Amino acid sequence: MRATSSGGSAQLSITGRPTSVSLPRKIVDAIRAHARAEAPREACGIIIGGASAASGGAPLRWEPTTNVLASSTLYEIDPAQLLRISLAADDAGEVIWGIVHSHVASPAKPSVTDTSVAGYPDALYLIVSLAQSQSAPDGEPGIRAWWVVEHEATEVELQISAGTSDSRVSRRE
Amino acid sequence: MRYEQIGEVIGGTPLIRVDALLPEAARAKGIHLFAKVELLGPTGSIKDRTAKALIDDLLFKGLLTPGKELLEPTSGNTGAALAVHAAARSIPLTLVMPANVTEERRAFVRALRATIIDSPADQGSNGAVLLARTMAKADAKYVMPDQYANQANPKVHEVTTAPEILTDLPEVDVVVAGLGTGGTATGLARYFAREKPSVQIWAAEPMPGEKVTGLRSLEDGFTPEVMETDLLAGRVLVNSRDSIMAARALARSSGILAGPSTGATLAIALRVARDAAPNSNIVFIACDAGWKYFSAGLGDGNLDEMEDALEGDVFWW
Repeated sequence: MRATSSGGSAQLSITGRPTSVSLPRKIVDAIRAHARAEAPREACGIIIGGASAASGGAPLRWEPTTNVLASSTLYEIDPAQLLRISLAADDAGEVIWGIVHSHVASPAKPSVTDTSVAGYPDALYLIVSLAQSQSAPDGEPGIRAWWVVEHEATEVELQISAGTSDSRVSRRE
Repeated sequence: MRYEQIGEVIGGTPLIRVDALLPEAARAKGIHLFAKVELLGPTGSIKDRTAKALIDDLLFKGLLTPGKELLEPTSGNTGAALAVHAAARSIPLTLVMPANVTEERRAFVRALRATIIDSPADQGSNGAVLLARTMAKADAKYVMPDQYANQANPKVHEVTTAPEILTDLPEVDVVVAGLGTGGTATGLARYFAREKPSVQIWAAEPMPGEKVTGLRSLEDGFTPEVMETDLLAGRVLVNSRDSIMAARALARSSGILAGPSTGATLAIALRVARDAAPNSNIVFIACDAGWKYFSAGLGDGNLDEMEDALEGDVFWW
């Protein structure tokens, strides 16, 4: 199974996967706050869900994590934190729904590195950009969501599920 | 350090503290986590102890006399370890393994002079056991160590692995081992029941139907004769994905590159740590090296693909 290339949301070809997902406002706010707090380093974290994003599961909560690379251009979730989060999710019958990281100065699109290291094909990859040009209409950092399957990224429409009249969280290209 | 042969370097493995893997709450409670790093032996697994003990036992009992040959059905680390220790003592060794065992492993044992007999790939480990037993019945020259039934297997852990842990960490409270033949867990449990009964022995067991290479689910219908589950504090089920993730976390946060069966014991150790009393000292057995699983994607591969690789038709270590 292969995905279409980056940005081609109209050409989604990943059979059976949602083409649109929504995130609760409180998770979006927490992701943006974490990205700002970690800048100028890339920030990262995990969204836990009741079932996988690929199967249409809903996001439940946000778990900020440490970027062990402490870099402005690269991230790696602290593997010990990732393991603990994954074990706790298993125990609760939950899954890793989304994997989040920030880009401090570039668009919220997966880099070549991002797509080459993505190891969770059933999870959604979310990127929050602190670049001003990428801001959402309300001025907040833009967030975009992607499937990354076999090292190719395909964008998914992302909406905020409650607490706002403007459901757009990014400027799509 | 000088030795007369490689069998003498077995055991005496280090206990390495890996507290970074513990949740902050556990560290705050004074809980410590240690890896008993068995993967530093000649074949990178705890089976070095087992293989040497099995051969010693056969020699001691006078069953491995000149003209006899060792025969063992194995699709795992035991075959590699038997090959090393048989070569060191110039004992002929024949290993029966499913035809779909990885080429790396075949090359490893061939380099050590072992003869390989293929059993039908579609019959898996059970097919190898069946063929080896048929061969042993038909030809009296063959001697089968039989790690699943031979008490030399748990005994070596009772007299070496367990006392090493207690010597290095007298404050030990919990030890977690993987459940394969049951030899490690049973040997540890017998020793601690006698020497420090407060120590709990937990066993990591794969979920029924899931493969964590090297480990075995009792629910899948086979209980090795050497196993004494009554002595254990409990058996905890672990899935393949968590085992792989735990092995990766151990490598990346501690530099100890171990395989999925070690990941399974670590995952259970972390679960035990969550509910452990303050100041508990938890040991898990790092039983198998990670370099054997690179072609399965252990290093950085996609988790789904690695699960598929390890649960598929190819036999790993």
